[in-house]
Amino acid sequence: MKRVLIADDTKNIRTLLGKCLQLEGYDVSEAVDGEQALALMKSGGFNLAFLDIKMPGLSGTEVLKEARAAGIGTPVIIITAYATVKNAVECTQLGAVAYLHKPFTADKIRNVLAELQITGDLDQAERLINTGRLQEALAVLKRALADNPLDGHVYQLFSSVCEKLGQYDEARKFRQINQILSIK
Amino acid sequence: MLPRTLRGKFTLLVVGLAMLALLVGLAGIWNLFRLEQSVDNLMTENYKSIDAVYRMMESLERQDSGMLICMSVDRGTGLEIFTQNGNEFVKWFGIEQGNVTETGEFEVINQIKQNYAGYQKMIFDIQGKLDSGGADIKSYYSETVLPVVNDIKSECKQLVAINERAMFASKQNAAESGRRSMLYLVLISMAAATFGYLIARYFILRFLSPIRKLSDSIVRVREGDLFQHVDVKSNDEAGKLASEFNSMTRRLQDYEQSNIGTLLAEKGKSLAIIRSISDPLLVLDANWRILQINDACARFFGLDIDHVAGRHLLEAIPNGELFSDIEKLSSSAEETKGKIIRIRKDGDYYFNLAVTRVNDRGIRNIGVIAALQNVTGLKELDRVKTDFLAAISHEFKTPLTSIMMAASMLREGSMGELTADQAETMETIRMDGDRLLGLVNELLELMKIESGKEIYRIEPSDVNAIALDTAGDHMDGARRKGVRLVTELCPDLPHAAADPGKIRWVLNNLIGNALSHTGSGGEVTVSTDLEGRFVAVSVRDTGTGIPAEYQQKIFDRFVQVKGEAGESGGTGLGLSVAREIVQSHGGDIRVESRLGEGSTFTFTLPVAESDGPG
Repeated sequence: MKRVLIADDTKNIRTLLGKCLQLEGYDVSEAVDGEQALALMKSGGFNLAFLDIKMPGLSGTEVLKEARAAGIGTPVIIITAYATVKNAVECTQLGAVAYLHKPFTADKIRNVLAELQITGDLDQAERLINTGRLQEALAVLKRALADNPLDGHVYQLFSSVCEKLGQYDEARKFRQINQILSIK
Repeated sequence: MLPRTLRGKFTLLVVGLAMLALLVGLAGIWNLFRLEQSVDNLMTENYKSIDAVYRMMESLERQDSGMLICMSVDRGTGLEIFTQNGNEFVKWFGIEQGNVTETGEFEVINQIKQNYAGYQKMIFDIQGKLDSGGADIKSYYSETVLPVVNDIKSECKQLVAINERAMFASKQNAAESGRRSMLYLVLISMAAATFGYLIARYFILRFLSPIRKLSDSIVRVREGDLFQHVDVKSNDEAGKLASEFNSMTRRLQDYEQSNIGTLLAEKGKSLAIIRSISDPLLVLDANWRILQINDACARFFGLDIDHVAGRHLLEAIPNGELFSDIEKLSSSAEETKGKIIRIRKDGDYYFNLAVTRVNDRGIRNIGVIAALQNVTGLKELDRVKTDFLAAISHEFKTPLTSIMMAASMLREGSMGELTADQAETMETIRMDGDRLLGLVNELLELMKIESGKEIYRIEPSDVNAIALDTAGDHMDGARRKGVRLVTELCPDLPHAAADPGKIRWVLNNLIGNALSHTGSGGEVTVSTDLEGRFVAVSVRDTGTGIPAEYQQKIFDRFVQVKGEAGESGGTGLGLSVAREIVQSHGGDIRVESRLGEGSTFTFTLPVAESDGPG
């Protein structure tokens, strides 16, 4: 089961966001402030982290910064009520995968997760392809295809895996599908 | 005794000069006359003498011939000739004797007289000798008579010579005297000219000196020195003018002295008033020179209150912005104008700058008074209010998140299906959550605009595209309500100078309002048009309409049409923010509405510079 960290000083947000993510099939851990969040992230094993910017002690941005400095690559979604362009840019540069404005609904959370799933899967697949673990890459890509059958990028990756496996006919087919999708 | 009037004086001067000219002329005439006289006299006298002498000589010759005829041809005829010419000789001798003019002439005449008397007697000797036979008559003639005749002749020639010499001398004399006369005349003329010039100059200067003194004094009076007295003693027009001038300056002095006390008191009063004002105040003249500042001004700008007067505003306070603001405000039509300005010192200070023109009897601008009302405190308060509202709005977002999350999760049924009643209840929570969110967002938008932090990204924008897009966002909502949402876009619409994001916000708001006020079966039309140099966007609905009394106020903050607030879901802020945005673009927003027939909201945006119509 995927593990997710929710760091927010507001209990109700933790509770509701936690419920929502549990329903989406996540194992939810909670942190009430920045220090706790950072400690949990350092303990490792999280697939995703929601960080509120405004927390007592360490802010979400600082947690993200320290985590990245400590070499933790967990995808981070920033939550904020004070959205500023400057902060959004800073967080994106630090590698936040999404920037979520308060208030949000359960729908919004699900949309963000879906987008992340695809990009996450594709990134993972690409890494696997590059390191030569082609079978594992194929498994990931199949899952991604089930999630989003209309993403051309998935087919492109399929075609490069097939090419490396020597299945040129298959590779060509996937390339053509990609072309058709990109025309659309 | 000089005449009393200037005219008389000048006349006298001119007459004097004329007399002088006359005098010179007379001297010339007299000289000429004298010259002519002397030449004339001398010449005639001498000529008369010479003429007489020549006739004497002629008569003597004839007498001599008469004597010879008497001696040898005919005694009677010869005697007659002799006697006749003897008379002639005596006549001319008499004339010559009465016309003795030269020295030596008299002696020669006496000589001739003696010789001639001897000669006259000789005719008797000749007759005696003729009577006695005339033997030795020839020798007598040649030895006795002829020498006498020759003597007389030579004496006559001597007379001629004397007179000719005299004539020549007198001619010389005349020439000499002519030259002298000319010299005299030249000298006299020069003397007269010099004298005339000097005297004219002297008198003109003397006559005009009071006028020169007067004009000097008038210049000094004009320069403000009223204590002028012109010392002119003459009794003429200039003297009268001077004395009138003196009495005028005396009157002016009296007038000034009588007023100066009141004025000083008044000045003291206004100075006290100016100084007692706790906000900076500047009194400037028409050339932006400082006349007066108060203590607050001196303190704020770090000026020396006693030494700043007379300096140019920019020299005293090197703040170009302040100067140009004062200049701009002072040249505007109204007498008093105000503007909030910011002055940076050790921090930002805000002033309400009020500029009042001081007019001289309402015609000429003689200065301006610039009053800087310190509103830094108010501005600070305003900022605190804005910050507070913004903070509150942000704080609303977190609890709002919980409410909206909870409501949406429950409604979706992911935590168990709801009954119809429960779902309806949840829907009200969701709707009011949305409404609260709308309020929070509008408040934040308003605060952003108010705090001046909002930056517009003005660019040439395709308003048709924005209208189409925004209307598209509302299509679903309109369909749900059973309202027809249509667009009527003007083809060939030029781009507008606008921030597309902001315009979308405004249009969103207007369409949202229109939809919420229009019942099922109604119609909302979004249209674009060109109005001169403006792009106009209208949102027309067939809804309830706005009562006339609200149409003016509807763009003010927190104004909602009564009896409807509950249903409308509006916040009373949307239109206010919309107006702020549109006006910041340089456009305007207006509404036309009839109760029961619907409303039309129209806002305008300036056409982008680079983009003409068509």
